[in-house]
Amino acid sequence: MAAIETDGLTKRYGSVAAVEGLDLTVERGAVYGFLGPNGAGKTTTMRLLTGLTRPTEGAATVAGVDVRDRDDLGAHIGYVPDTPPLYEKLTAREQLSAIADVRGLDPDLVRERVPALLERFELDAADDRIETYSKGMKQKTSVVQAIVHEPDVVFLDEPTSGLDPNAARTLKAVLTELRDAGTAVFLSTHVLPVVDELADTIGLLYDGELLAEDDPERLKADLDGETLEDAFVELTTDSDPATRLRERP
Amino acid sequence: MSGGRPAVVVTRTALRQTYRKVRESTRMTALFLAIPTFFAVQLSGAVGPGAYDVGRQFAGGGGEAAAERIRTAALSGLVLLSLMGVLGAAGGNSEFKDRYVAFLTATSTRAVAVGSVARQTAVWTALFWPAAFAAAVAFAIGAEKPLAAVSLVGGSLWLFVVAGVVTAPLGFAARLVLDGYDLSKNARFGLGVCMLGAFYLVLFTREYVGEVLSATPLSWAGDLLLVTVPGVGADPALAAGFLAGTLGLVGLSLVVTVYLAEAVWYGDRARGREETGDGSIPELDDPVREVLASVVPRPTAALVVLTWRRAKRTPKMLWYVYPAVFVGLVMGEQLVYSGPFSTAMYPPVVALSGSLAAGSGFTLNPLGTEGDALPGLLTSGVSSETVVRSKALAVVLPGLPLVVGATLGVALGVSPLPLFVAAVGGFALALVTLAPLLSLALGVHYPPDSEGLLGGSVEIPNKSASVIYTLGMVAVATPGFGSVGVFALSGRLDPATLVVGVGVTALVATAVSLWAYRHAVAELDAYSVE
Repeated sequence: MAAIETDGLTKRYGSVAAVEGLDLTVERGAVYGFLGPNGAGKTTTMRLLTGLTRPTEGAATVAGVDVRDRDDLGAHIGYVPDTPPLYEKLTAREQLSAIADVRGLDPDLVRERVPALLERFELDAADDRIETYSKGMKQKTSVVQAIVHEPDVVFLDEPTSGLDPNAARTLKAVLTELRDAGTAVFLSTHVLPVVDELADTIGLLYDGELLAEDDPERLKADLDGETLEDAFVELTTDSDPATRLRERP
Repeated sequence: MSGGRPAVVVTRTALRQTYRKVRESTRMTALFLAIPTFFAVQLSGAVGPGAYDVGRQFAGGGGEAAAERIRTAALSGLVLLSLMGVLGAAGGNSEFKDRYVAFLTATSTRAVAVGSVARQTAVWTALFWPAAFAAAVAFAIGAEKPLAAVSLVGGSLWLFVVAGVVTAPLGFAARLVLDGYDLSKNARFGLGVCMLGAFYLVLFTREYVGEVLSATPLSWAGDLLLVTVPGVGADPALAAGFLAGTLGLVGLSLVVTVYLAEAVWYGDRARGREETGDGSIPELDDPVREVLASVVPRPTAALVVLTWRRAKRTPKMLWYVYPAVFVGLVMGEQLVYSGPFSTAMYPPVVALSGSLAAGSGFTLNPLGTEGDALPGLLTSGVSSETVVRSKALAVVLPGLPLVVGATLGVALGVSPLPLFVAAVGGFALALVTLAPLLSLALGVHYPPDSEGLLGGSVEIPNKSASVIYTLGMVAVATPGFGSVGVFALSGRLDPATLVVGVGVTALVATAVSLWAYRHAVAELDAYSVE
């Protein structure tokens, strides 16, 4: 069973299609780099797959659970949205403890995992209120919150935003470990070297449609780019990306 | 940009944003139309005695008495406007830095400060001045003196502008003092409640306030208002003096506002930190949560404690709780102290206002009060039932013993008849259980971005949610409240009337509570971030 499977997944706002007929499959233990220009529909796709937004048409399962079943879905996923989903008036430790409790995690596991992850991400201010945090510290807390229950699938929307190089390196190491342990990582970012380094497969979204899906090396080769950035720019600045892709060998 | 243009641009942009926000929301549009209409109808005399009747009094030869009423109303109105202005400025303009950050990095602080004051003044003038306008026109029609409307309309408009601008620096000053002393959030809120208390005090003693101020230059406001009303002895020189004096005050206020805005916006703001006392790291275990988790599922206990903790650290979240308490005070004053009812009316007043207060906090906007954390909560796998139950429990656990206990205590004090005490106890129990569920059922219809900003990043439920919730609670409470009222008015306890009245309220409250719970759960289940 694939970790993520969508079939004609569509989300329309009135007559505007944010995501149109999305068909994709992400296997367990894989990192899926989800790329696309601003407004392509990446965040909407993430919200659809995490159950936050209801699809207009089509179907999707994450860890075998229908995305319309938000209650069941939650146990299998972790989500790092672009804005850290944190209560500003709590401390990081209180936040992580509260959400772990809400998830129904064993209190002994929480006592073990939370301090370990806080230490790993060097969150020294874990007992200060989150409202006093920098963007990077909030992002670290958000990441820890998303992985503390060791989910089957982790969705990350611009996870390196605001992170210092050390923290970004830690995050990459953690994501690699998660993948190795069988977790599927669905990663959306504009920091292309991160995707290039981590992703097993890259999906390219444009105007709500999946235009390309391949491993990074093949994608670069097909689009005549030395780097992923070359390939991305080549594709997304074309006047008709769909035509450009259809011409792929 | 140079001169006054940046301030004009800031004002125009902020007003445009406010206008579009109002226009694009049916509820906001309705509120912006309903408030001025409500006050206009009251003040003009379209319903009950009002300005039109004062005009008739004028036309019937009672010119001096009519003028005196207008002068007194102007003075007490000016004080009320000033109090409202200080409250608005303290919570609004003085914390507007975040909203104006694009302007603050593009133009001078002076322009932004002046623009923000102009915006605030324009908004509240648009909200409340139409009532004064309607009253002025109604007076002129009643008095059959069209010219009278000129100074009443123009003068009242000027009073709104003056009150708006002059109170702006007081708001900034209040903010500066609060931050300077690093008062706790609860202490700050206590000060706000005191201001609200002062507002009600002036409202009830407006006649006396008007008399006291009539001996000061503020009374010249009456001359400004009455300068085109013939035969009432308004002195044009005093009117001009008031105009010139307040013009100077407006200019001075703007200068002080700019100075204080710089101090408030760029000063170091105290920010909350958890104090562990001995520097040790707090344990993850929370005794309250552990106790709760022994009687309810752990996720429910965690959410209840989380809600309490956040409310304790952001008491402003409970903004609508405090007016509900004041509503109780006003009801007590109007019905018993100044009204025809006996003290037997106090227990249902305590029950109704206490229940109203209980449901007026975070349950009025269960999605919005989650803030940025909402996606985290919704993707945590917690069920909608758990969310709704935990929010309701967070209200009922402290609210029920407080409201029912206070109601029973007051009932025993005023009329220890067993049937009466049992009836008002049941009345309180039904209402305080209904309160959080009704507000939740309503609140889930408000998307997270529909709340109002109460200074800084503190958001409170939409005003219309509070209004609809209050009306719903009052509708359910009416039979029981009325049946106690019959006893409190006649002094004779009719068991049948009391039992039927309270019984109807209890039955309806139970039915609505059940429906509200199911509805809130279903709406939350179907919730989709759009």
